Amino acid sequence: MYANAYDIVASSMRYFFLLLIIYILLRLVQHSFSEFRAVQQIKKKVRSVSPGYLEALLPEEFLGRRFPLGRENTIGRSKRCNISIPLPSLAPTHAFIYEKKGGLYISDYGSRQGVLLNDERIGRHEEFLYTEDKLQFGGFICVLHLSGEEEDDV
Amino acid sequence: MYKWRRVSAAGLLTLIIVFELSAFSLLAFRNSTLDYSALAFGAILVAMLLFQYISLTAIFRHLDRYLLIIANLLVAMGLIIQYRIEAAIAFRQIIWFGIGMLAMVVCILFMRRPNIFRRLNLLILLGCIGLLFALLLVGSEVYGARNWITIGGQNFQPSEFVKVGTVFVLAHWLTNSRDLRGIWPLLFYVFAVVALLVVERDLGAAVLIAGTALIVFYVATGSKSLTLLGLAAGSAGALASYYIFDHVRVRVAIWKNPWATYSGKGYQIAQGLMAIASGGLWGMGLTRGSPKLIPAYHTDYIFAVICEEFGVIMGVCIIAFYLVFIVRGALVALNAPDRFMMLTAFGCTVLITLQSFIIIAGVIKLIPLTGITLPFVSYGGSSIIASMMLLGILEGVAIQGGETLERALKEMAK
Amino acid sequence: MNTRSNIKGMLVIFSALFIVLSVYLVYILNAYGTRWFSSPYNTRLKSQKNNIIAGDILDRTGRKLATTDSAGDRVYISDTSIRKATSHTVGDNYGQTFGAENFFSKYLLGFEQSIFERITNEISGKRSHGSDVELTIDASLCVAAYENMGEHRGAVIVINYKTGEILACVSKPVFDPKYVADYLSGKRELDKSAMVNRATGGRYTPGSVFKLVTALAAIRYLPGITEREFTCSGPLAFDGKTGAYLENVLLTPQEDAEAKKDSEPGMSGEYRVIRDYNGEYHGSLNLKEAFSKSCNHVFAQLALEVGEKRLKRTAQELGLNDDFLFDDLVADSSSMGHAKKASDLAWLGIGQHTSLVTPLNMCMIAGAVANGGVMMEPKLLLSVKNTMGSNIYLLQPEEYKKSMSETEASTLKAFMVEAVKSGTGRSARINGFAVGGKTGTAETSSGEKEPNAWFVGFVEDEEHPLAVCVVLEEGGSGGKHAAPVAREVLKKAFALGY
Repeated sequence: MYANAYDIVASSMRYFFLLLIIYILLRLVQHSFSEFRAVQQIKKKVRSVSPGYLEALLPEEFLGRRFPLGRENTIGRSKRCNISIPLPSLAPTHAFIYEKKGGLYISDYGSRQGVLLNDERIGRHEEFLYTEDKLQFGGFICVLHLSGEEEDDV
Repeated sequence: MYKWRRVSAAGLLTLIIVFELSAFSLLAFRNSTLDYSALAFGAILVAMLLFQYISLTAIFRHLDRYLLIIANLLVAMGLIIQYRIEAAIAFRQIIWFGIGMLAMVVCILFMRRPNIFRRLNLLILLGCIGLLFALLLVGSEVYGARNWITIGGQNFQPSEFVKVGTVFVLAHWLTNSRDLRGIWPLLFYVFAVVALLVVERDLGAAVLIAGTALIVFYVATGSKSLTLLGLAAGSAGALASYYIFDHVRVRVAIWKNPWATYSGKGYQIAQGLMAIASGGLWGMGLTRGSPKLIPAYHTDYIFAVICEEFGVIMGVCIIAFYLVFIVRGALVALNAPDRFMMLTAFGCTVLITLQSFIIIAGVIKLIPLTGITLPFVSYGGSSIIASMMLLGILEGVAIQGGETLERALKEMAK
Repeated sequence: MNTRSNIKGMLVIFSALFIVLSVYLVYILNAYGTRWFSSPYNTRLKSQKNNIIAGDILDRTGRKLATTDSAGDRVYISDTSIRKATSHTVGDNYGQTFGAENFFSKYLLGFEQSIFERITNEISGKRSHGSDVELTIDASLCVAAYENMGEHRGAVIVINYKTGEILACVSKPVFDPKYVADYLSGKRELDKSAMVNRATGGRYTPGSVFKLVTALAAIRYLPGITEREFTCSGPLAFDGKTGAYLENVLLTPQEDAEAKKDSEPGMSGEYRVIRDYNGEYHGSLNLKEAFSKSCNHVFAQLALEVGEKRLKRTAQELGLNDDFLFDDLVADSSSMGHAKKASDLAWLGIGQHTSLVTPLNMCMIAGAVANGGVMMEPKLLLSVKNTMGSNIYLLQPEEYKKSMSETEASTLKAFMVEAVKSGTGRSARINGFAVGGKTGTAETSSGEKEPNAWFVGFVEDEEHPLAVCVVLEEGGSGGKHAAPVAREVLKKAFALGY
């Protein structure tokens, strides 16, 4: 008698369990969506202000300094550059860092010393930049930090 | 910005707790005398889950709560089924789960200083190979695969930990360079590990690691040609193993027609299919099925037991939960603050993806069966600890990503 | 080269994989679930039998073919002929066959019971009882078929081609479900193949009934074929070694008869030949007459003209090579052979060589011809009634596939009616009814055994939409031995009101 009653209860509980799990699943998906969208908004906001910054490593006197980046940045010895580094090993305008199609790119402006990306010299064409890329302009070495994460539209 | 996230996630956790408690209550009343240990077990599990959730969210504001919740749900589901089959199994598993929770926290903390892993990389690499090699010498054979070590009376499956190590090895070498020349230590590692696993007859783990390496390689380098080359090499290896090893041939034969060899090797698959068919869409109801008929009912075949008692609809929901987990894991990877963490997080995601896909597909006869466990759900100390470690790594990266984003926001406000 | 986009790409692939996984899971449950569940290896069924009183199996007139008595034993109808004639359809209680006992066990053993029903039973104190299953067969019709088959092995099927209901499904040799335990323990003798349901699972060489396929292919792919004049003057000749068709070699029956004396079977001197039955050649005739008289000469030529690819496509649209996954029963598939040379193709066209068909498939084909080209799915389950008396299942006719267009169907229908009116199927004629059909005399081995006798046909009448298939192993001529069986079975069906 007891076994039968229990059996019936166990049978009916099936629907309860299923409904509960399906509800959890749907809520989960819904919340994940909203959260994803919210985070995207935030990242867009952050990116729109500044794509990132350069954190200097060498020479010693610059160590730890941060240079915030705008949408377009010229880097060089000259005071007219967006990021002005008064070191003789840099060309007056050494390199150009700019945003294009949601990504950050660097190109050599024609310097004698050249631009080193992760210890490899970049050619005349532009190079795509990743967060934590190491950049070297003459005697100035720094690390790039991207804010939020850059979007690629694929 | 995360306030509402906290509330909704907590709400889901509550529902999970409701689910879990009702299941254990049902189990408690199974016999005419009340089974107090079932209720106690349920309560302990609740306590553990609450403790974990509250403490982690208090300490780490940017924890990915939904990942944690999905994992909790899967673990709870696993424990419910295990308790239903045999309480002793569940008692052991919950202890492993506790240890797994600690391992997860350790991984989260390590990910805050990921450079440790990068410097220790060679150690991890050699360690994994050495571990597998040691298995050749001192390992004991279980179910025809030499992948268990017994220490102090407990069985460990080192291949599970090699999985975790592989994620770091992959990420490290692929962060530095994007062409073949730079990553030859990685190639050596992958070949060595896969070869050792094949020799030890742990084909499931071999396929898992090979597949993960291939996918992470493609993602990191984008080199379609090299990846296809790797895929071809892998397929050639699989084909070769089909001809060399008769147990591979057996696996393929019973996949094609398990009923023909019912009294022998096909028994497990046939029983699994019959269990799923008996459950139908809605399941037979907890305690009303006959799970013990299926070999490996608490490890590899636990998915069939879930389908038998909870129904195929529940089975599809579980697949959906894994999918949400994977999507969130990939999102964590995409939001990672640097390349190493991105690859690490993605590696974890791929591992979970492949592992769950391969075993579920094997149980429902979509592909030949391999002996691997369903992450979080299956019984197995090493399995759940490794899975929790992967979860910890993912959470660690999520936290770092969130903190970096928060810092950027603060910079903006200045 | 962008890692991030690669990750997104892989994510899409992963999602697709998991969706495939879910879909596959639901699919296999739907397609194979009943089969696996009813498998004789499924011990859940056995244990459930101890807990519950299994439901009754009834035929469509309400006769109890199987029931469980108060002692809990399974009891079958007392009439021995009914028991034997319906044995394959009803099945057995020991998991040896795929009959109703096993295949519908989810109803019979109460697996489909609703909670409400169980609570009601519990409260009223009744012992758990499974649902009652009503089959579409009529036991009297089955007995008539069984008796008319005489001593021959084989099968008889009768279906309603508008709804797909199976009215009779008899396979001989039969077994007696009452004594299955004795058969298993060896106390009683049983023919080795008696438990095989030849109607759904017997694969036989079709012989001339395959000409239905060839005729349809000709109508479909050879324009103007119905008006063409054929000349059936003698055997068709093929090169003895290569099997190529030698169109210009015209053997007369006399030359052939001479050469036959010193040649191996199927050969005429240096040529491989296809002869007509009994050496009777028909002279000048059109397609309808060729069909009605079952002329091998014409149909072998048609097969060569249509070609293997188109013939195979036609066969597939008629259900050959299909993996039948019916809801109500397990049916083996028919297959069309493969032609390596022209002579093989010619043999295939007249239903010899390596083709194998099931009686159920042929019956479905006859039904499709009569039903305007629409082949209905065979149904065995009429209704299921639970312990509270309400129907939890009612038969719904389902279309299986559209095999041919309405015009093609009516052309073939006319052919088949002619075949019964004045052709090889004369013995199936029934006064006052338009019966159509095709006979077959299928050679199985080189002349050592008698050929299998086939008759496949239908009744062209809105009030009696019946299709029938009879096959008698080693029965001799289809027209002489199978057609009369079909006639008697159809007459009995009329008498019973179908």
